[in-house]
This record gives sequence, structure tokens and C-alpha cells, in this order.
Amino acid sequence: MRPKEIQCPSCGAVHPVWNPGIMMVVCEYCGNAVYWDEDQIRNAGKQSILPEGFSRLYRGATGELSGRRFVVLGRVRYSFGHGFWDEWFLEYADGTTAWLTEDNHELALETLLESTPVPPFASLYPGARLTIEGETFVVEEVGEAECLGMEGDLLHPVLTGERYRYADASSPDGRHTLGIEYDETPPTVYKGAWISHTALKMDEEGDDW
Amino acid sequence: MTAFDPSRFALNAGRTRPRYRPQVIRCVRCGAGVDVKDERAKMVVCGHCDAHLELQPGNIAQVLEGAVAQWNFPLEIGDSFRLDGIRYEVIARMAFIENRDSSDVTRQYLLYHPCRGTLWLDEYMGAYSISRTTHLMPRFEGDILKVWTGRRIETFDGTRWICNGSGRYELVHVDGALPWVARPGDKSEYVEFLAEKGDRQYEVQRVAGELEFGLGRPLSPQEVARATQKEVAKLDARRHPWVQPAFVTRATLYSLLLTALFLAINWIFLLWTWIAGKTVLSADVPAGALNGETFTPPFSVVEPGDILAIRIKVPDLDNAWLDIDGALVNADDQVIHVFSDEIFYYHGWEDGWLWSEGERDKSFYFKLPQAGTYRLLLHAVSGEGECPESDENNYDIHVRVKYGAKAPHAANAGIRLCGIMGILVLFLQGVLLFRSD
Repeated sequence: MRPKEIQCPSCGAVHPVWNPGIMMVVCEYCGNAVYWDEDQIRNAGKQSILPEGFSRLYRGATGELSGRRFVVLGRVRYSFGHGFWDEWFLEYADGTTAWLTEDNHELALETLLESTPVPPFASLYPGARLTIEGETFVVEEVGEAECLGMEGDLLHPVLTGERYRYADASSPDGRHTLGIEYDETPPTVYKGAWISHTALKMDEEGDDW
Repeated sequence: MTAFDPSRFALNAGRTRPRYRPQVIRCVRCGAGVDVKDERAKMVVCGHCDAHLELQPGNIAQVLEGAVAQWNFPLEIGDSFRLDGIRYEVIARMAFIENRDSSDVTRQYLLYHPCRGTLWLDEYMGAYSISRTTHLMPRFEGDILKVWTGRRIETFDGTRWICNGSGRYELVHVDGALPWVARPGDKSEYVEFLAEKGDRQYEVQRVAGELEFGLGRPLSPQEVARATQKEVAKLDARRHPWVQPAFVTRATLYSLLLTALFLAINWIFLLWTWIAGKTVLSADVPAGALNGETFTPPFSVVEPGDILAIRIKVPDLDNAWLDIDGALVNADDQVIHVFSDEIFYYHGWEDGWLWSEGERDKSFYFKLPQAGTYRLLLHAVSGEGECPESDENNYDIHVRVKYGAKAPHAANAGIRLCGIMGILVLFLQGVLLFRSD
């Protein structure tokens, strides 16, 4: 099969889109973003260019996560006020996708929990305990996230400056993560697990710097 | 499903890794170029003018005016630190003190690798440890930072820990680049634990109201020397001997109990020497009488060979001295024994501390060759303050004589024995607990 090709309305560069679930592409040459909306291609304009080289992951990288080959399709960066974190968008060799959250060089593989009731944002604070699907989590941080920029291919349109409230929690044994995004009603809930360094193998590790 | 092309997922089929390039900013104070190695840095200290700069997107602001106290660090910003074959780099240094004691310094280095993240290298009294942030939490109700030294806790992974100490740090120096804005004077509470088994360390800190957790392990001087390519001797900022922090283990507990037992035995021994004997004279001698030579009332000793203890007490001696001359005289007015000594007592406040020197009493011991009736012949001179000489006495004294006393040598020997045992126990404890690779 051949990939779908998108032409950047700003610079004319052609971008192959391999995964049919992709809804947004940021031009790697000029930083212009385009997305699909009801079968129409819309121009989102120039986005902030994210610096590269400061992480194990990078757009276009290939590697193996828990024995599964993947390629990094894109990334979104969010600010939480006194810092930022990255959401890396991965495509596995079987066509399925996943999000890897990177916060201060710690990586967590997260999956969406469907129809999971969570407490209202106002009731959460650092140290608060909540039980999701029978597992206890301790809230580590609550705040408002702001999108600082994005790159590559993404599943959903997201624009620089978009904001939403969030709560991040961790299981007390330090193994699992919980992210609640109060961007929609009901809130979106992701459950994940911290990834050990050895569970992720990059084809180019970048250990020599 | 994906447009299937397995070659996209093949080994090394991806894009070439973008090169790591640190950011370079200009110091708003002196204009010098400053490397910012970690893109998460929120604060950097200019290596040229020591300006503390806060980094915001599109904005650099100076956050601290004036000079900051300088501390010596064995490691420099930019030094390499190789751990398990991976090269990290020192990108920030901090010095913390406790209880405003500038000799009680903990030095902390932030080690950075663009793909592996950050590690903390700590040095306290020449002992190094390495740690990393963790999400592992203690299974503990209440304020974990109030745990006392020696208490056992458990973390949610089942590991059991012994509290090794807690306190409150005050930041006194920072340079390099940090992922938060740190200012000298910032305070943080901490509590440290050592694993019951193995050599792992666990730490909880409360910074700006939030708890942070760290997992680490000690590093021997040889490991640090290998990691930094520096000589062991140059890694100890204060030339302190290499010691591991002590903590209460079963071995320590037994050592402490053994020490306590020796202390108790020796105190009983000492007490026995104090109470032994029979008082045969207890008399006050007025100051005026001591200006000349004066006799005490007679007293009798019934057992030859008994040890006589004569105690001279000067209750009102205050920042002054008294020279006492005495003689033991028998019923035939023959001098059996003479004794003399200086009794002095000085005290005061200096730099907020109370000090004292000397005592208000003195004891003399000697063995009596035969039983009989005896008297003491006494004479004294005294002086105030730093007056070196005097020919008169201004202090009343109290004289007490006991026979059948136990010589102080036994008590002194007991105290020395106790001290030696204490040192031995500490040494044994050190052999068991101190790790010096």
C-alpha cells in the first residue's frame, strides 16, 4: 500500500501519512500545521518549533518497547507552569498506536480508560488518595496544562496555547501512573505504567554525547 | 490499519538522531555567553559574574542581586561523572547547612545526561551517595518527616527501612543550572532511611509543601574517584575521614547495651568509693583562723593501715583561688603527713556560652601507719580574679575527714576502663557498619 500524501499549504513540502488514524501533521520544514476536519484540510498556521536532542525519544526514531517494534510519529509538549512534559505518539509495527508520557526523563506508557468516573477537579490536591479500577493512587500534582507546541503526525488536532486542567497521580508502590484531563465532560482518564530504562530500546540510544 | 510497510519498523530504519546542542543564552548582567545543558533548566548562575538568572520562554531575568557565599566543591561544573559506563555531567552544585552551622555542610551535585535524565550526587563529611527521583511512597500514617532516628518504616514495594536522620536544610550556595528557581536561604525538610537489608537509601523531602522521594545508594571514595577521574584525597572537601552515617541496627543496639552495662558497673564502683568509710571529722574553719596556723578538733582512727580521705571545701569561692597547706599531726604533736594544693574556681559567659574552670573542693588521700588520735594543722591564703599573690585568706572552709576510704585510684581506673571499653565498642561497631571499600 502507498501512504496518503499531504502537501503543506505553507511551503509545499509533501508529507507521507502512513497511519489512517492520523488527523494532524506538522510540517517538518516550516512548522506549519494542517489537520482534517469533516474531510476538509484546515490550515492551523505556524506552530512553535520544539527543541530536539534532549530526550531518548525523537520524531522518526525507531526502537522496541517491551519487545514490540515502533516508530515515533509525533510529539506534543505541555507546560504545567513551572516546567513541561512531552507526550510522544508511537505507532507499533501492527498499526496500533500508543502515547508515551515523558516527565523529567521518566517515561510512562498510558492507555485510555473508557467510562471511568473520577472526582471533580476542585476536590483534588497533592497527597489526595483516589481509587480507580480498584487501585489506589496518590495525587502528585494538579494544575493547568498549556500546549507549548507539537511536531510530526498526531491522532487529534491540538494547537499551541490550548489549555486544560489536569491531575497527575501515582500508585504508592511507584509502578503505575494516572492522568486525568479535565478537557471534556466526562474527563479523559489515562492509566499507565512507568517504563524502566531497559524496557525501552532505541535503535540509536544517544548515550555518547 | 496501517499502510503496511515493514521496512519502516526495521532496525535503524528511522530518522538519524538529532544532535544534542546545549542552549546558549546571554547573561543579562554581564553579557557573557552561558551554556544551558538541560532544556528543563529554570535557573542558571552565570559562571562569569555569578548572576542568578531565571529562564522563562523568551525572557531572562536576574533574580538575585549581590554576592552569594562561596563554598569549596571537590567537583566543578562541567566535570564528567561516569556511572555504569554512562557519562553524566555536573550541571549544578548546591551547598546546604543545618542549624546555621557552616561546618555542617551537605554538598549536592546535579548530574545530567540528555537521554538518561538527572541523578543527585550528595556528599556529607566525605561520604558520597547517588540517588534518583522515585514515585515509591512510604506506608506510613502521619507526617513522615517527623519520624525519629532508628524507627523502622516500610515502603509500598515491601522494603523495610531504618530512619537514619532528619532535619531541615538551608541552601547557602548554588551555581550551574537547575530545573527550578533556587535561592540561598531556601529551606527544605528531609528524612533519610537506610534499607534493613542491602545498602540502599531512601529519602523524603518536603519542598514548597510537596513531598518528593528519592532512592539511592552510597558510593565509596574509590567509586567516586573512578567516576570522576580524581584522586580520592581531593574528593573530601573538608579532609574529613571517610565515614558512613551511623544508624541503629541490631549490632549497634548490642554495642550500645554493652557500653551501657560497662558504664553502669563503673558508676556503681565509683559510687562505692564515694560512700565507703566513716566520717570522723566534719568542721567549719573560719577565714580568719586560716590566716595563721590553726588546728582542727581531734579525731580518732581505730584501724592501722586505713586510708584517710581529707576533703577541703571552699563553698564561697567565686572567680578566685585558695592555696591550702595542711599537716596531719598525731597526739604527740608529731607531723605524720603534709599536703598542699591550690583550689580555684572561675566561670562566666563568653560568646553566649557558659564556661567554668576548676572546682570548689579538693580531696587528699593517704594511708595511716597506725591507729590513734590525730588533728589537722591548716593554713591558707587566697586571692580574687587574676591576682597572682596574696598573704591573707578571705574564705571559710569546710573540712571533712573519713577513714576506711577507698582510694580514688580504683575509681579512676574504673573510669578509664569504661572509656577504653567505649572506644573498643565503637571500633567494633565501626568494623561492622563502616563501609570503606
